[in-house]
Amino acid sequence: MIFSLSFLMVTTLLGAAITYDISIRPKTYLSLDQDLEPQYVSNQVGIQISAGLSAYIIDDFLFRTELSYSHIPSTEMYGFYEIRGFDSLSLGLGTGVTFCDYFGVYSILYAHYSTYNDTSVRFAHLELSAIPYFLLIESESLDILLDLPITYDIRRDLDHNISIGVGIRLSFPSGGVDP
Amino acid sequence: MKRLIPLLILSLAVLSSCFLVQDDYTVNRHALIYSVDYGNDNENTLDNTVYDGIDMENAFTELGYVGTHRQNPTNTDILDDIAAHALIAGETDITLFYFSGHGYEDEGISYLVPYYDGGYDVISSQELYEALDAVDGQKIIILDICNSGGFVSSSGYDVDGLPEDYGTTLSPSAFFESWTRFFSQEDIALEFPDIHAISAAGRDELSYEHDTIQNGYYTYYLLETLGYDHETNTLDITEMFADSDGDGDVSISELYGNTFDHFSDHVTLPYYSHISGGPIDPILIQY
Repeated sequence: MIFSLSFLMVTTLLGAAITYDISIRPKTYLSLDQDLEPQYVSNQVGIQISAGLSAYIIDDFLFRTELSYSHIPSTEMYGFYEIRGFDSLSLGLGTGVTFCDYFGVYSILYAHYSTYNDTSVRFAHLELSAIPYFLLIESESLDILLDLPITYDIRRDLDHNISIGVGIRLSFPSGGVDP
Repeated sequence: MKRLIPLLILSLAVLSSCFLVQDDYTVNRHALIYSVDYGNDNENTLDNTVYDGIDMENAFTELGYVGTHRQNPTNTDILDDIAAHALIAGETDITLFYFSGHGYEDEGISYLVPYYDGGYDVISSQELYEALDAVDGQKIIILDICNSGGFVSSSGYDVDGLPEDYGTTLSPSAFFESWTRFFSQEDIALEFPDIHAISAAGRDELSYEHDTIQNGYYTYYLLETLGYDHETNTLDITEMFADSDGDGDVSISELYGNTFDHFSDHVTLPYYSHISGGPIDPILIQY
């Protein structure tokens, strides 16, 4: 939160165009771990809800920060166990570029603080996302964008975790130079 | 908009392709249930632990577990039972180890106290884990004893967010400890990844029983979560509310979480149950 406010202050002082947005991203969350017996691949379908702001500082380049909540449910049963799901609160920081009026991409690094479902057991992890996005609807006060995030989640308890999602983002311009 | 439709279809195809085929496994469920009252003329006598054992045996037998309830076992009885069980348990089996009696903590190590005839003859958390490690399959420990949180304290890369000593339910130190573990260069993965534990209390907390309910508080509410009727001493599966998602499978996280809430709704004594971490969540019950 402190970081996001600092980010907002700096970008405002620089006169950057700022957009605020909220987004919702259903995603499939695939984990691979060779130590898991009898099935070393698992799949969960979760959701991420984010509030973010993007600052267009230099032409089409943007800096971005996000606060997110994610819910990943437990898997279905694999023989005699499930893979635990988790809830996360996250702070993300990234940068991106717009290639044209309708298409751009940004990458963002999330620091997640998560709690396994139904427990008080907590763990930290980092997630790197590449998010191509497409402008679907544009108006003076609201843009609607399609996000297609592809992420790699770095966890210490499971070896490899990849997710792919489809998201809708509502973006609200807030002054400055129009990007 | 039209040019985006292929992209959307491609994304949905990728999503749907990730649903994976699972195989069927034969899962046998075993129970090793122990209760200790320490005799009638002992200052350490517990009046309701044997009822804990009887009720747990009733409930888990109805839930498909095969095993024994041994009253007043000694240290040797317990370790011999585990060693004998190791000869029959399979890799996909679930073994429940339940103990109701006394426990204590000394210099950060928790112990359970079996029956003794002069002098203590205890089992430390490390001894219990090493004994159960010889058993194939997933092992689930449930302890209704004082200071039992020490049996779930080793949780690898994750951190128990509950304090061990009657604290609040939010621990800021858990946040920093989580990140320390994430960036640790050491291999601090669980030493016993197939052993999962639920404790009635924290490492520095006492747990309690009461004559009016004829159980330990934790066991009493755990049994109710499973749908156990304390009047008839039978299990009514339709009264079970341990299955959060209603899928017919109760994982230990579901049992823990629902028992935690049920216990907190009824018991004002300030002690909290704990559960071990890790990504694996064994299915304790299928119905």
